[in-house]
Amino acid sequence: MILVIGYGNLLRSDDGVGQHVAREIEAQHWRNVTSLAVHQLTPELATVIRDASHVFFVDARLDHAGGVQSVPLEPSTELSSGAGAHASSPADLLALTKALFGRCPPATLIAVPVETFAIGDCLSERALEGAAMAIRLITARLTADGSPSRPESA
Amino acid sequence: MSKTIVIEPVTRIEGHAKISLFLDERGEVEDARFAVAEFRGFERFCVGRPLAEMAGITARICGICPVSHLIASSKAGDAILAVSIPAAAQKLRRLLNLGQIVQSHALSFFHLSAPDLLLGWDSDPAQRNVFGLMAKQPEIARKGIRLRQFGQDLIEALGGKKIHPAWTVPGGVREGLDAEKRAAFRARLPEMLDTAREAIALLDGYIAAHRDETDTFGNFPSLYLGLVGPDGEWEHYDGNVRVIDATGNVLESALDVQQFETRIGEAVVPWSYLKMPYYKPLGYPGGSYRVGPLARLNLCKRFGTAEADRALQTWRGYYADRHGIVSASFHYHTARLIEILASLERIALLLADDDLSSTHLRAQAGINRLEGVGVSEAPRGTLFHHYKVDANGLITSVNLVIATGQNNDAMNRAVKHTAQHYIHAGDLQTVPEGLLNRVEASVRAYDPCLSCSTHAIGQMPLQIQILAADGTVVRTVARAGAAR
Repeated sequence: MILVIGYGNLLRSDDGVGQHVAREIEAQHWRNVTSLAVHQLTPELATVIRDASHVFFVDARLDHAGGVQSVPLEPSTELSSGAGAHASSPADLLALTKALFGRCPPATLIAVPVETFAIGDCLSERALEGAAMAIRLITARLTADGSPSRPESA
Repeated sequence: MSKTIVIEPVTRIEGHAKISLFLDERGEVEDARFAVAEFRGFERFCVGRPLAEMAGITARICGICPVSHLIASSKAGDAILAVSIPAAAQKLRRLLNLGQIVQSHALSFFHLSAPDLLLGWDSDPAQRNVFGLMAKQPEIARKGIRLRQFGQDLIEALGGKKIHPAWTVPGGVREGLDAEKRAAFRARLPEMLDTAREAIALLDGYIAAHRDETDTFGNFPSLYLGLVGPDGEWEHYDGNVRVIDATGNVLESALDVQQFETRIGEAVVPWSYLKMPYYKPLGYPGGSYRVGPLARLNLCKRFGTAEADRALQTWRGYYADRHGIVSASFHYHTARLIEILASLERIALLLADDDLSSTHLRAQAGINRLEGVGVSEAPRGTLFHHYKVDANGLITSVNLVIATGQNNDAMNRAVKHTAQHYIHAGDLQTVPEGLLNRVEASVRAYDPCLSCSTHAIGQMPLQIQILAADGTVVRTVARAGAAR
């Protein structure tokens, strides 16, 4: 099972782009893909991550230049202050999964360039463009040769 | 020369704060302050908003306990609409709140507090966290995560999502819980109950081996305030406000929540954005009181469910004084675990009720009163939402009295009490980290939600500062928070 976790605050404008990408992926109904749109990376996600063959974390990156970044992730060796509490970083969550279950899958951070984290409930044009690129990048990985993932309509 | 010790940040709490310890000329702790430096202004920017939006707006005060605000806000709306919501809707709201209590208490114990208790106060701080706990006791750590997950899943099943579910509204709730989902949650309950029992036994074992320390930990007399049912049973959703003093005398037996402002005042101090609620007849600070798990267990006569009632009797037998009151702040931890047990028992009863699948879930009405109060027991204590509206239902005034704020004075006293016990003259330059951890832990016992209590947002660093009488900073420990 391939896992997509898009996270962020829907009321902080482009911070919601992660959830937007995750919901778009979910709407495509891929077989063998679980796509979660969440507000925060909470410890319970470790119970889902442990069963995945690969995890894509999708988050917003406040940046006025550059495209979507695809960054391989490793479990943290030094924990952030929020690790294990109600909100963790992706790397801390991987470390939590490994500590709990003895393993964690390969993981990638998909960082979407966005315009603003101001109070608001809409995505900027830049965020929407970035989201579209992120979705293409993820779906390309899902349809790579040998992948068991297929849209259910296929 | 007097000095002040500063601890910053206070770790493993929700939100950010600063502790200042003021030493006298002899180098002994003379006073302590737990200061919160966050401000957001919900009580101002909600003015002018429609009543129907308030549940969704106030839920955004916090990502940890949004359910508590949803329920209190909706109940304030019920009062303004002057409706009695359908029985099925009340049961569903109760189920939501119980799920919230389970998940929040589980996070507090297993992730925030258990590292101190199971790894040791003086253990390496780099390992004294949930990851260190997983390394040493992986099974209990896994069970704690699954227990929290149960509560979160229940919230999601009812409200559509785990955080900020838009489900409870003035007049009722949006949707019921079908039989299939109820059965799925009932199937998970045996494991959850086992985890709760195991945690209670684990903590009782720890206390038996550290009785002197736990008895001393933030132990001081206070009033206690919370909701109780008509026969004095433990309440989390409805009932009346009861206040007792340190010896168990009842000062307010059944205060109508709509009249809470006649008895509850809020004092302001210059060194913190966190207000200091107090019981008006006794003034401030004499009328300061505690809320939350310790208060609720001291206030109630019983839970009304078998295992929780046995646990309550055992708890009082082990830890209560001659008045039947448990006063050491450490016992917020034990009370929290018993409330998990009680909540799971009540969840079991509710899940067996076919009424939860009812489609009659809303009472429809217009604006019938221009003022209303909604009260519920959040995991951390009693939560009041007080709204005034105009004839069109637009908010003209908001007052939020938050659980953690009501424990503000108690947290200050707990810090002072613990610091006076552990930190003495001659130790100032070399106060071991473990002793500072104990001072921090006296705040952690209250499981404060500082984002809620200052109606605040953001992630700010926490500081503990030791200051001399002449203002010289003797020592400072500080940690940076994250951005966003």
